Amino acid sequence: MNLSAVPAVVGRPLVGEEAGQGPPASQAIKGHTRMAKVAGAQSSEQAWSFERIYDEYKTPIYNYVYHLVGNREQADDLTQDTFLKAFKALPKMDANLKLSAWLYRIATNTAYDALRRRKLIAWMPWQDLDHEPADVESADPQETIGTSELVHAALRRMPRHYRAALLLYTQDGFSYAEIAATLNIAESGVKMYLSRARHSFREHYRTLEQGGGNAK
Amino acid sequence: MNCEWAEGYLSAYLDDALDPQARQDVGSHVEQCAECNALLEDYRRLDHVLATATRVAPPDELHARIFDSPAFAAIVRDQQRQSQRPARARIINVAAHTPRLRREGRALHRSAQRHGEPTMTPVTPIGASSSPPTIQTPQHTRRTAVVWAGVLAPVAAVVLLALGATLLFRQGLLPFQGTSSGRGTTTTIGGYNPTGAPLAAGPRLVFAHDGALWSAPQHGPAADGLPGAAQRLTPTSAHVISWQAAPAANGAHATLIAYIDGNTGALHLVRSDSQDDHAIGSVTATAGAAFWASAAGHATLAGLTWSPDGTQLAYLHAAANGAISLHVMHADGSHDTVVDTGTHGQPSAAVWSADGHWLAFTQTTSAGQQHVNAYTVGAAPVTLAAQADPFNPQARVMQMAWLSGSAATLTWATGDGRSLTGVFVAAAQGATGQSTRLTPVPDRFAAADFSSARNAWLVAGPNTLITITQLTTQAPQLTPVATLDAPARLISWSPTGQSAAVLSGATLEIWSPASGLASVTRGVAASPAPIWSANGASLAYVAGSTVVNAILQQGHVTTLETLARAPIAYVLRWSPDGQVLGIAIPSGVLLTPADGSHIVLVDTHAADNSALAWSIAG
Repeated sequence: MNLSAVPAVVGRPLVGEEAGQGPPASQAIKGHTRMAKVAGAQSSEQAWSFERIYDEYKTPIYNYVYHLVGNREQADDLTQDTFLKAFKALPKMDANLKLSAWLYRIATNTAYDALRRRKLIAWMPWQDLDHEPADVESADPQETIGTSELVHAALRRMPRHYRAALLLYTQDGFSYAEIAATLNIAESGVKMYLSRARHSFREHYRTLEQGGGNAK
Repeated sequence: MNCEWAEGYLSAYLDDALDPQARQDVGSHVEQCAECNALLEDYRRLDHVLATATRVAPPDELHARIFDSPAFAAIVRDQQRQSQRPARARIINVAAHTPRLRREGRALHRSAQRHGEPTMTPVTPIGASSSPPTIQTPQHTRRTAVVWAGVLAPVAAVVLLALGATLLFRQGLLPFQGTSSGRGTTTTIGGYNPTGAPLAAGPRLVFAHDGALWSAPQHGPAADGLPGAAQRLTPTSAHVISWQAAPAANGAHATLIAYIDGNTGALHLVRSDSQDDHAIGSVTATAGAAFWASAAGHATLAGLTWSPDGTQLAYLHAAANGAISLHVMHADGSHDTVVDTGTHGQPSAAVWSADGHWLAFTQTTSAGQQHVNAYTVGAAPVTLAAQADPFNPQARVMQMAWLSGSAATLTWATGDGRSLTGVFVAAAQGATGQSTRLTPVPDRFAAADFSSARNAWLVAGPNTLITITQLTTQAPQLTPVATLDAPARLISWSPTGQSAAVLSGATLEIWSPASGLASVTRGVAASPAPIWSANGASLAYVAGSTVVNAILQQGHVTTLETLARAPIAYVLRWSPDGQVLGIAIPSGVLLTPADGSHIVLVDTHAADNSALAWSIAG
């Protein structure tokens, strides 16, 4: 691929960081409050391309999407859709865009839409696929036996909105405001989501921990 | 203070998200209460467990799938083009109703008009470079004045979503950035009207946000007949957490919307045109955070199903012990009947027959066995299949439909989460519990769809399209009808059964029995799914960042109209008459006519779950 053809995105340091001496490209997008500004195709030391965005976010976004849909094959597709949607829209976004929260929001909506479509296509208005055995992979070579497996299994049993809030808070380090932005809910609602999420996760995790459920 | 009270605040206490007084109260309680202290410690421990859990990494090949894809190449081309793209558009922001917002709308319009002639879209009609006779871009098919209008459409969204983004974001109108301050502006005309004064009759687009239901008229109050702004339907006392609009099929009036109030667990009906809200029942007596978070709560939220004629409603009720029962009732709340589902497990997946006489549903036992059943009022349910796929106990019903024009015969497809495992048929009358398998046992399918208009399945094997017809005979016919270049991702029959959309890889193909398979556009998204108009004459889909309307005659695509440019679209819904398309985008809800002449922003809040539905009020 000809990288020079790829529009670049320039990382801008936050107020308090020295302007003109922006962080290295790989760091420019790590923080959730880092800002991104779209520029035309250009080459500068600060510029980072779609490739770099992908490298930086591929694992957190994939991990998040995987936990939302519970299926690796679908996580592949949805992560692909997420990045392509983001790449399409990014150059048109406001200069103050919070890249991380925005990416997660696209991922969230892409995953929710897929889950909803899965139900619509199936004409199954009553089937809660989030809780169906079909939603759970029976053999996942990358899953380790033990705590991580219990975590994955407990997460799969949770209502997806709460699951999303809990993942964003505990695994991705989002603030309440960022969760609100990502899940399109009021900031006051995040408190309730996290409360219910912790309650639900604890219930399922403890059940699994005590051997009361099939972790797979 | 008691434990029940404190437990509700422990999570926020852990996050230091309480006001000082509440924090002190909870802290004092935790110090004295071993149980709450243990719960708090458990929350802390599990937060740590989650934070340190192994992250799931993507496969290496995902990089190539993204960066070597035609879609990515199109993005690069599009963005190079956009750096020189002028813009001119007709912007109609009916959601902006305050004087300040109206000024903003005019400013946007003026801003757009200052630019030069727009260029066309990145949609890639297959073979377009060689000017094929059957697929034309709008400028080839419309008269000059209309061409200009049609060309405006893509640019309108560009202005809304790109040029206008900064202005609107700063006004807090487009809350896409997600700051909580951005959600302060609502888009209601006169707010909720408890007197139930009628709103405009006719087709209305229904959606939910901020715990309330809203509807926007296809034809607003203005003399130009353009869509109007969304108006709120539900009272502030209710918190809508699940809803279903009665189907607006065949142009018949279908005014009612059923919803569940999360505050009380009550089942409500509200008209889409009069804000006449009333409770007709309940899905639980134990509504509350814990219930809605439970599996039973989740099931009841997904349990509303209207009969196709909008006269009956099926719902799921959760008893205090968590047992789920299936109910059917008339649309006025009368004749509430519990279906005797016996001991075969939790009911789900209901599908009404076209005449509303039969209701098919599945039941899954705790051992995982899934039954397929049918119910008619006044009789006990009958078992159509004791196991959805007798050869695959893990398989679940993925699609279910009643055959049209034949006596109570159900057909369904099963899947095991990876692929479809089989297609089946069974009659409800004289049911023996034995279904007829229509596909060979070892065969698996990537996608399938059933057409009630044709009583036929269209299924996709690894690279073959197959029709399944004559379902009720002793010799159902499986006929290979086309070869696909890439695995099918989605199949969707038109409502008339005249043709079907097939997404083969990222290529949209139209298959019809008369003329076979024809490619339409590359780079088409599976999400949002392409959507047919009720008359099968229009198919809306997203290609690149463009919403396109493929117009068909006799199963052939004759014209591709560009309706809007939306970098992200979540869902598409045609109005019942196929004249207007509803589009849910991150920053609101749009309506655009099938000719793409303009775009109307009817709400500046994203629809909850991106769900849109049409209702015909009157």
